[in-house]
Amino acid sequence: MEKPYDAIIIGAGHNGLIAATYLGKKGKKVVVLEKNTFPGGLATRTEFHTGYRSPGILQDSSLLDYKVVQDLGLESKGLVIQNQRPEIMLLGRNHDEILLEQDAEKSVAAIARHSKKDAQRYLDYLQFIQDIRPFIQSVFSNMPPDLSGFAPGQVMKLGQLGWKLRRLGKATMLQLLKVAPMCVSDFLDEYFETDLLKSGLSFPALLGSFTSPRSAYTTLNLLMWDCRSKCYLPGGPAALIDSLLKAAESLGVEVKMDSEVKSIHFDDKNCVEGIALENGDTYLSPIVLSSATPRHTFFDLVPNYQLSFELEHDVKNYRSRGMTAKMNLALDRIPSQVKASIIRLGSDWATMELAFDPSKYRQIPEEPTLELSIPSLGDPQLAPEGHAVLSILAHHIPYNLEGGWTDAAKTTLSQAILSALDSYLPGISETIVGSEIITPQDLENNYGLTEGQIFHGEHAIDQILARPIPSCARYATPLAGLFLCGSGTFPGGGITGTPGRLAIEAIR
Amino acid sequence: MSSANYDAIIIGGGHNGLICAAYLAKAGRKVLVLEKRHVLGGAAVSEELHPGFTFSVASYVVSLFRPHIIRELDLAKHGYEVIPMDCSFLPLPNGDSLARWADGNRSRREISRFSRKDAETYPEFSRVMTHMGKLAKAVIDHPAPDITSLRPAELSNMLRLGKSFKSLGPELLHLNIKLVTMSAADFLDRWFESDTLKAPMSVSGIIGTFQGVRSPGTAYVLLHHYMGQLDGVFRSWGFSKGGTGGISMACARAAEAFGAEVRTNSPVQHVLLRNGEAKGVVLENGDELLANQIISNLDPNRTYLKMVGEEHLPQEVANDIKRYKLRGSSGKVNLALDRVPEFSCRPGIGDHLRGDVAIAPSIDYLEKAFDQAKYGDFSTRPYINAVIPTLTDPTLAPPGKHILSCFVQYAPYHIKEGAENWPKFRDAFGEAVIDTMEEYVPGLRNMIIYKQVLTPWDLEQQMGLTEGNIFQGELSLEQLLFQRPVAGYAKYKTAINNLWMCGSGTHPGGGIMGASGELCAKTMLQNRSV
Repeated sequence: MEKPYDAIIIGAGHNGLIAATYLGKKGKKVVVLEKNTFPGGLATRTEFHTGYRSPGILQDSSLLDYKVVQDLGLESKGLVIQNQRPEIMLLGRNHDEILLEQDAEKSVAAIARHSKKDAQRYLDYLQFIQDIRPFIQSVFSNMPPDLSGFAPGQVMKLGQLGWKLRRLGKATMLQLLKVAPMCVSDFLDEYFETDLLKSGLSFPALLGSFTSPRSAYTTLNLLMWDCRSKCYLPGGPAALIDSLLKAAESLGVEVKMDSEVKSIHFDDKNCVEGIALENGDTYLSPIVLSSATPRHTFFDLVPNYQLSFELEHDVKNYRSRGMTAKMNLALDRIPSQVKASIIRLGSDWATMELAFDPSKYRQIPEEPTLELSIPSLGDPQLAPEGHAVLSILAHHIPYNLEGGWTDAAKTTLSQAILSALDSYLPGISETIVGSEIITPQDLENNYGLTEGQIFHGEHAIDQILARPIPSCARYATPLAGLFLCGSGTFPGGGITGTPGRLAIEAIR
Repeated sequence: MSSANYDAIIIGGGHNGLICAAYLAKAGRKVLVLEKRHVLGGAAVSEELHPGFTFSVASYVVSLFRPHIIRELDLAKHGYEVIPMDCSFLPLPNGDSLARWADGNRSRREISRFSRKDAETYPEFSRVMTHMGKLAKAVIDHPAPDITSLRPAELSNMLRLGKSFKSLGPELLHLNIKLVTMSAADFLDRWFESDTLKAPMSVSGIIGTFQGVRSPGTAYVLLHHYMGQLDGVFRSWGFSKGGTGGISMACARAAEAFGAEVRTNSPVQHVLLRNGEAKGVVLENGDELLANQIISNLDPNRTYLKMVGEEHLPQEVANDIKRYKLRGSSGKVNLALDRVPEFSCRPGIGDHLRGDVAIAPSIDYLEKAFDQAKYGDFSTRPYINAVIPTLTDPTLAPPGKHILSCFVQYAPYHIKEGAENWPKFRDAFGEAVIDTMEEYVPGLRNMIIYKQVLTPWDLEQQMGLTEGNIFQGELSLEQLLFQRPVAGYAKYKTAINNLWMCGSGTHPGGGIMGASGELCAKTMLQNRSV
């Protein structure tokens, strides 16, 4: 009989690999089991047209937790990381544009061309972000507070949190408490008058949640992003995976592809004892960390009889409505209008609301809200020289489309995206040589994302504070030996690596 | 030496102003209430709009009125009487209907026609929500704690709140977080499967707010339905005898019995300031009245920007008040009818008509009504909450005649043509409401003897509710508790010395609760400010 592993990790996405590498560093015997034939999950390069590769599903690497990079020595494994946020181009129709650069002065000048008042207020906005950043960063990079315990230690932790908040100063604290529950349109309306600036800045507030700019609490999502977004990986998320694999390997962590976990096994004391693969292989370990989505973990991998009524009820009601589609375009040249690798196609609140409304009734919006990136500008592996890959995230595309995601529906979606794109970047259609459309349904089928939700569950405040559900909010689950370490845990989805890092702290 | 004639003058004779006056008078203070209209009550007002017909013009049902106020002010003696509502009736366009009764077994039987599972869950849901409602009581029966203060009294106040939260236990605590943050529709999805049940339940999350049932943050208003207390019984709504003005009149009589002076037809033009302190009021007719303390029952916008004026305010306070959101979203259509309106899906004049009738056939219907409002139109097929108060209180109309009172949402104050153009759309709005009702009550149009259509613009013009907001300000989290109306001035005291606020724009805000008026008076007395 083979010596059991110290820990088994389900899924070789970035969080799974990070958790595994941390354990490897502690000298543990670890195996990572990945169902696909390639590692990386949502951060995998795939060829979608001969000679053109997409950088994976997620295109924003600016939230990467630098502590992970340091702790795991990823820079020595080839990861190139720039300690500044990439430039963001807000592009409107009629060649309107605002380039938000690292240098605030230049951004201000760009904004001033639209509105002098907004230019001044932009500095106020940056100052506010600067003021609250220490608090937000501290909250989102440490173990989440235990809201259920009221044990003396936890009360102290909550007290410390309150103290950190108080230390922002009374005015900043009150401002933060005031704006956090607000809807992002009200929040940005208080600062700015230029539609392009307001709509462009609001994008991070909407990604991965079933909300529009008029939805309460969207400001919090914006602040969460703005306070944490501070770096840039020229090689994109895939470069993070490359370096993680090297780090894991050097520590003796086994990473096995084509190994789809079928079930998690428990012993007669209801403690985890290992897993079985679809191909019949079994692996033994008293600890299993799942980076799969909460619903897949509990409903597909854990035997039914292990679930209490409350656990089943909570997991079932964890909101995970996929709202994002992806389109990759192979272009035979770099679009001339483009001045940054990240482009947000801005409009105005009414247009953004109109893009949201149909999704509530399971329809495809006529004019989806689009966030573009040209990853080939940073990662030359993706496209032939002089050519480009345009990677598009389309918001408010419902998973549960009325009539289902048929080929006809896919065509409708592609056309909606391309026609919206063409109105911002005239002439772009002539440069397209190949394309790929990925619906929320495809995201579920190909990446195991429940309902195609790219963050393993919506970023809504109740699902952030106790993520995914109260009884699993601190990575341990009610099932002895089973832990969660994916985007479905605090502080949520995107390329941060924080869930993978913090999950390790939960293992005693 | 003070030349003041009164200890306190209260601007506005709404129910909160009158309750505040009653408490102060009861404590022996010399109080004067000034109401601009010829009738008392503010939005809780009864008026004979058509000969023989007494309408609850604006606010039309009662549930959250604090029971201890009835006792302490002896309101029953002064005519306070609320008749419980027995039923919540939902007609459906397909000819079916759902009636939910005060009697749990009767509700279960009805609900089981749509979902047996939901019928079983329904009592459990009520139990949990009632429990949470008790916690909310701990919040609404005290002034909001000031979280920025480190004073021992404030810390102990927060500790008290913390303890009541702790007593919930972890599960309910998390449920509480969900209630505050989730949308009403999502929250109900956790419990129920039938759209027919969820839709009429979800609407309590949107009443008076400019949000849809799918908007985050609407779930907690669901609690209001379970917080209502009539004679100590949770979750009861009722009709006030003589219309909602009956409550205001009882409060006024109580105030007068304690020695307060109440004047109608006395519009205040502005607050009189000396050296930055409130000294009295100036009436529109030019009269000056002096008092040691001035209390405004008006909304925060009116109080600070009209009664005081921006130029007298600290800049931060002026800014905060200007960003205080009022955006009214509802209107009212009051109809006098020559007979009882019968619903084709459940004909006859049964008990189901003695409660409220909700036009809320599905979640999508409600959400689509909201979609229109988002872009500055009134809903052509709105959510309607209708009551026929004359079936419960026949004194309101001549024999055989009836009143159908329709609360209508959405009617956004800021229509895209501009709020001041609402009068041009008033008729079309009224017609949309009657058309909608007629789909369920065939022939309704022919029963109408008299009709009054109140748009949010009208609510502003007639009742002085800025932007027609029925709660004197949106009940969104950033405008509640220590932030209602603005942080730092949430304990009824305003940024101007000797000027106080006692309306729904202060904690705990909204509805015929009386709590703001009571807490304002008690705070003043406790601080020995009056």
